[in-house]
Amino acid sequence: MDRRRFMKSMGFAGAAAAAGCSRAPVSLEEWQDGAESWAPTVCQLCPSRCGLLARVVDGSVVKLEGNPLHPLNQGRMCATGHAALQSLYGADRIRGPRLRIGGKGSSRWKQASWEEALGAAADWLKKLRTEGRSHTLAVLDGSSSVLVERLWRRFLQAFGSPNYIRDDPAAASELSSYLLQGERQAPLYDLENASYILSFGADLLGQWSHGMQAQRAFGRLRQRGPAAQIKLVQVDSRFSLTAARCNQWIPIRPGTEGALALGLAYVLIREELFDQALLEGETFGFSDWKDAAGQTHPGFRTFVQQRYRPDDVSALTRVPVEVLIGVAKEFAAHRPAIAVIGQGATRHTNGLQNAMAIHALNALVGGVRQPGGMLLRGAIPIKDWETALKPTVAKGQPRIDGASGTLAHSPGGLMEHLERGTPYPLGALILHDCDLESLSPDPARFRAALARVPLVVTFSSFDDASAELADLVLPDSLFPEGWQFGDCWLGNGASVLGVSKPVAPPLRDTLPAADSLLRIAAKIGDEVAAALPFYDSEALLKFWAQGIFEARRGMLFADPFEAEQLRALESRGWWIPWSESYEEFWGQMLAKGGWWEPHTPPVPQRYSTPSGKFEFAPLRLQEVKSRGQPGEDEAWLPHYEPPRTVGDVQEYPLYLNLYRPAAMAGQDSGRPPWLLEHPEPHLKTGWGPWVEIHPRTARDLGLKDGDSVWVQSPRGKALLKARIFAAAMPEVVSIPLGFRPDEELRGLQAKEFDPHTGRAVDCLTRVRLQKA
Amino acid sequence: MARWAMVIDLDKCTGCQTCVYACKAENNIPVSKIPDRTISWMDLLTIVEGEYPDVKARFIPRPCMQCDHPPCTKVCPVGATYRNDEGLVGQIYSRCIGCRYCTAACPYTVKYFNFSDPSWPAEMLASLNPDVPRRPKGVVEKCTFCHHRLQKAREQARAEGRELRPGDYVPACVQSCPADAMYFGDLDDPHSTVTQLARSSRAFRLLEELGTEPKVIYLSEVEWREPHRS
Repeated sequence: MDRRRFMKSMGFAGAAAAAGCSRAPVSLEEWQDGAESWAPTVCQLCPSRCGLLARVVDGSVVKLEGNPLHPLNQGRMCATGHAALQSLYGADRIRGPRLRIGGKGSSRWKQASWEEALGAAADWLKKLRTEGRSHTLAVLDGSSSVLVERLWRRFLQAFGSPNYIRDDPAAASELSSYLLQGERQAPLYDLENASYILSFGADLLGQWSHGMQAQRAFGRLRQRGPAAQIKLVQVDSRFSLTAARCNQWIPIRPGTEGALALGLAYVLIREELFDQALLEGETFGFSDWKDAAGQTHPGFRTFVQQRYRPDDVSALTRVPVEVLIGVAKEFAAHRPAIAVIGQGATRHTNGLQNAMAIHALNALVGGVRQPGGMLLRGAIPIKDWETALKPTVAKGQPRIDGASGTLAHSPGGLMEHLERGTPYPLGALILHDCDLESLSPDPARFRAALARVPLVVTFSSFDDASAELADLVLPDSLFPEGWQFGDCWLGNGASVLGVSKPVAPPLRDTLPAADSLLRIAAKIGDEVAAALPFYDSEALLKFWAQGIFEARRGMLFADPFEAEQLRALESRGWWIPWSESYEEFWGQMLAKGGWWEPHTPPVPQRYSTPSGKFEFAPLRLQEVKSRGQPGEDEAWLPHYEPPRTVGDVQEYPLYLNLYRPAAMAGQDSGRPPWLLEHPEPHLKTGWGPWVEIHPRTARDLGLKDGDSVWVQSPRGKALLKARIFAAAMPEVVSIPLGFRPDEELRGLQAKEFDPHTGRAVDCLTRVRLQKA
Repeated sequence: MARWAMVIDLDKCTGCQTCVYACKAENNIPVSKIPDRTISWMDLLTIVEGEYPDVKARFIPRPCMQCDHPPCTKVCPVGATYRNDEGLVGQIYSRCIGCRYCTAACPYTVKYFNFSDPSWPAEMLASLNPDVPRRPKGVVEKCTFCHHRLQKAREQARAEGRELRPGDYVPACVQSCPADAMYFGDLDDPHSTVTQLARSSRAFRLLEELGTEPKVIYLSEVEWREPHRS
């Protein structure tokens, strides 16, 4: 580099290299200020769990980028990941463990040391055990990680409690899988290989649990050009990002997505656009069937043709008949076709029914367990626990949440039982990664109920609702600060396990939640400590990874060329060992960022349903009858139920749509200022929520852009700024969540406990607007 | 000499704003509570046409165009903004007097003036990118195509005794885009991706009629969309 260019370049890199300015340009060593390194880490801000690389300078993370070797994000990273820097080094991170003093309801807190805090938790839990009340411990886990669940279940089993309760926003989708396919997992969507993607209220490019996969699939889909004729169709009550970028937006009356799916099914069945041999021979309940008592029941085919004529469905959903028929024909003609079950369809009281109807649509076009359709998760062969546990102390004790049979978890049930103190009063409640506010129809009630639990523990990293209500806060480190494992899956079911060690020391006095749990287990002693003989997350991960080494499958992260080579070899039954010893394997795994299995074994064609087939008429629904379903044929089959609607249409003419913008998609992201500044591209507004209104609706109310407006529902009211948006549906007003305070906005929304999915779900709430 | 350019495929862009935040993280962009003072070197322009139900939205990521005939450099009284021999339009913060002639001259509104001293909470100071200076109140700033990354890449190549390879130098926005909608490279290299894409029938530049010769090339959307049938 000559002197002239050096002097010019000084203009760009002023302050940082000022020290070097006075010296002649020399080698790389003298140019740098601090020691710099790049290290892999696993993002935990959303269920995608992408692999990242952290750039660390002098012990601080100065940048996060995608790990090029991670098969999901392949070197890319989303907006939430970039803003994570602000969360990581945020002013509002909880500083260290704290303990409430002065009893429940007191607002006095004490900053505690980890010894003291973990000791307090362990002492209380030990007390529960010695008093024979170990079953009164409950854990509410919102992490959506299979491995985290595994850890908590082990702990609870050794401790003697049946109460592992998973808080999963995709519960309706998962339950539809369980009923129709016999699998307790929400479906994976093989978007990359689909020719037609029909999304029912899933904002794939915005706020979606597998957003990274969807973004990359979209890029690839468009790369193939119009000649490939791949279509993305979005059924949505809001002009979301996906609606803006898709081939065809189908605006729909909120809550009626299931009806539309059944209307599409009508066309497919009527026009015989389905694979007859497959559906008649390989599924149960498509054709009319006889039960054990010899009574004949109509199958899906008969039922849909009786009930869901396009004219009726069109009137209900407000989707024009030609559009409905057009989409149905295209859906059937472009194979592989996939129908995605999104939040728009599952968020209301009819969520499970909508999910089942959409799920059935996939079966109609032969997309279940086929490439380009709905697939299952592959296995991650981590090492199994070494010691079997003795029969638990909790034997015979019922679950606190009342979940049984088809329902495996009921966070809403937990809330209801907490209030009544049945079947037994709770002795301790541990909250891990949950969004407490979404769990109960009435926040005031659950706060009162939680006040009855003697010990509530949370791992919150920021001052959220859990931290406010807990008695003991054991703040979790953010992902670059601790050992991480990230179980995730590609759209085709390929399993991935990201693993990383801490890349930077914690900003505050925090500990990863898994470490806290292991230390508490050690302090409790007895079977609990023996069940989890790991000093910390590193030891646990090293133990688990041994299973992967011994399984002799898959590969450590490597470039796409090597990955393709190994996939080709594995598909022919070969496998190349990557390291001689486990120590070498472990070291390599940490250096690269993880392990994955590019060759996915074939998906089982046998279903874990009572009939062994895909069930249009889920036989497991027999037990659901006892939850208050009518004993009609309708109860057996995917059908449409109108959502419970709150608010009289005369008084409250508009529908409320509370949604989470893409920028707020990461859970527990601590509200980084960049995202608050500018969350939505189509409206230059931020730092607080607004209400998005159609121009005509606004004009009728005398509202201009920027006016203050009262939004009132039968449950509450809120004062917001009006934002006029030409693409909004005239009868829907949308309000974003994610700003503080959310409680006021959530107070607008009527909710109800849904016994089918075990969660508090939205009632379709009507509102009215009034200029302030 | 290289001539650095960017190609943005509007057909693949999802409007996710990852490029906007990648730039903010890389370049120590401060936060502003006043919407009109928000600094976004990479900005996502949104154009919504029509009214429900016949609506069309376009998302256009807009960095600095790095013009070959930049209007901004022609009006700067102190030579704080200039075009270097690799086509990058630079900003010398220590020379800038804050007159904002360049901000007014730029037809693409890519120049941002620091109306106040940037501030970060104390905790965040350690997480700023050490390669990029913090700009004080009173100076203009804009997208630099992450020029600091070019410098580092060059030094790295020199230390390894080799030439700069394509892919060694890529701005933060291009590196992060999840939909692979952005490309970056040397327009003077006949084999580079950007040179080939620039010849596409879909290629266009913003405000070409002004003669600024911007080096951000857009590939227009393909006509995918169905008109709404009602």
